[in-house]
Amino acid sequence: MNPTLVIARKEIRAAFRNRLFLIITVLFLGLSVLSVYVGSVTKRAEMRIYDERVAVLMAEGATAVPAAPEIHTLTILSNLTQYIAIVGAIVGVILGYNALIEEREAGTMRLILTRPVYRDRLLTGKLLGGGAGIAILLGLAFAFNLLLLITFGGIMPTGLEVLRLLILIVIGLVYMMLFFTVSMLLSIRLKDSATVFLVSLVLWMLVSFVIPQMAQTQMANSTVINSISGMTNTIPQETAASRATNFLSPTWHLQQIGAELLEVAPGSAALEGTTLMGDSAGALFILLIPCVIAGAMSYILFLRDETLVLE
Amino acid sequence: MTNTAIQTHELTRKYGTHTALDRLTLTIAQGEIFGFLGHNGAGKTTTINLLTTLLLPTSGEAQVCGFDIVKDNLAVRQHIGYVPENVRLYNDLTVAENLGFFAALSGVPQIKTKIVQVLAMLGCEGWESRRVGGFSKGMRQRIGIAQALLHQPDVLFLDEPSSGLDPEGTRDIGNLIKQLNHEHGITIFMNTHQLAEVTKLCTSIGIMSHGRLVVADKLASVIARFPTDQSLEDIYLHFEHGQAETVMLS
Repeated sequence: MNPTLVIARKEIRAAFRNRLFLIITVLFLGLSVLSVYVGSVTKRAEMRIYDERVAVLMAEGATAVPAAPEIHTLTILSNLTQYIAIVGAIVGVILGYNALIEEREAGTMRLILTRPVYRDRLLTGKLLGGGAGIAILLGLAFAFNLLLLITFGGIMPTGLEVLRLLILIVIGLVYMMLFFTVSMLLSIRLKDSATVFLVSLVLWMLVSFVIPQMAQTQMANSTVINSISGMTNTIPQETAASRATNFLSPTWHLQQIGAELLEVAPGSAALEGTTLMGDSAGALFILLIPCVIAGAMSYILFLRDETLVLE
Repeated sequence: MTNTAIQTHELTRKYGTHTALDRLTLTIAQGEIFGFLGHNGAGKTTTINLLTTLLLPTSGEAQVCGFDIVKDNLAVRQHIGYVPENVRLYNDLTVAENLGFFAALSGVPQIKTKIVQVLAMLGCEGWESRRVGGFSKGMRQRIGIAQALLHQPDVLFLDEPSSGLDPEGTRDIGNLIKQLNHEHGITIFMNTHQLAEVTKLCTSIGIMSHGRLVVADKLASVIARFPTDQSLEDIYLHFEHGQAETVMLS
């Protein structure tokens, strides 16, 4: 077998023996169950309230009833985006920081590189293995969410809805790979695993929380007065500055496209296929760029300095 | 393969301005158990790193099993086995998974059969399904040696093979090294601080001091040059303290 595939296969096996990875996988799937269950219950409650209201109106002799609440199937799965954004990023960090530093600290990298294996193949194997581990996790999440939607929610999703979910999973894969490659890059440059893990987590917090928070402060607040109650509501509105700040956050991109794909964003359920595909391709591209840069830098650093193996 | 297992000429490795290995010229014949001695930082591990192709030399050249360590590095790797100091392997994987991984990287055919054979050779029958994570240092060292033997190497590089082992573990590893050399004809290149181990096992030695080889010869020849009341420790200290007289293996 090709050494790259041998390494990738070992990576997958090791990932699914890694206790931390397993705990997070179970957490991820457990949260999916909870989220679909809560989503289904909420939607059913909305429908029940509507039915009760209609029944009351009919009993009172009303001839016209209010329109039924618009319930989009995929909104039940809306939390999936958040799980990928937060838990998924941590999975990427855990797999990425471990990929090389563990081998280096355990001395196994020396053993690999005294076999007929080129260094770039080692790195490619790590990337493939990490990617496959993440893909398996997301594949499980995809299957789980669909199954739960059908069993808990009692809803059979349409082909387009399945496609929307699948696109989100693919974008989620690239998003998680971004954290994987950045952590891997750090593990090549930094000396010990604890430092790599901490720096990776700080970066994750920066792009996931700090940047969106900064963008929030740059939004323009418009005040709306309710003409009946006289109460005022403050509605934050995006500005060029807030948009530019958010653009730096991969998490924000994932959340935006997630809201669109899972029909949470206003009007997103009615979007045409071409618009949806265009937006998805755009988000994918934006997430792919830093991922490719981090991956390429990993290759350059790893191939250039042979003493990295010996530290 | 030639009759020479390892040959170096003016092999040098620098880290910035520091010369870790200074113009090493050495020849080791096939079938030797070569003990490489020297204080910490003398250049022993750098030599192993160069000969196992983990590092590139700054200058000079070396052949292992007739293959150049720079130009034919993949061929060198197919003919050598390497056991680093304090080998740890993959704790979450079983012995068979660990060995299977390294065997597959070397392109070993019939991996399962080979693993059983190598484990039997090392007295580790039935260890296949055990996880390495729970192993003692001595057990890990055996599995470390097993991974180095899967592809039937001609030369085995051992970096401090008995480091941290108890006396029984040290004896077992020593017996194993002898067995590999005598029964399987494997040339052994061994970095060590253990002079007792050298006396028991090695057929030839080299002593390094501050990056330079100060002596390399058959063990018996080195000892014969000194009065009979001088121990190997005295001889080692004599060379290590800079009384250099570079003597090459005959």
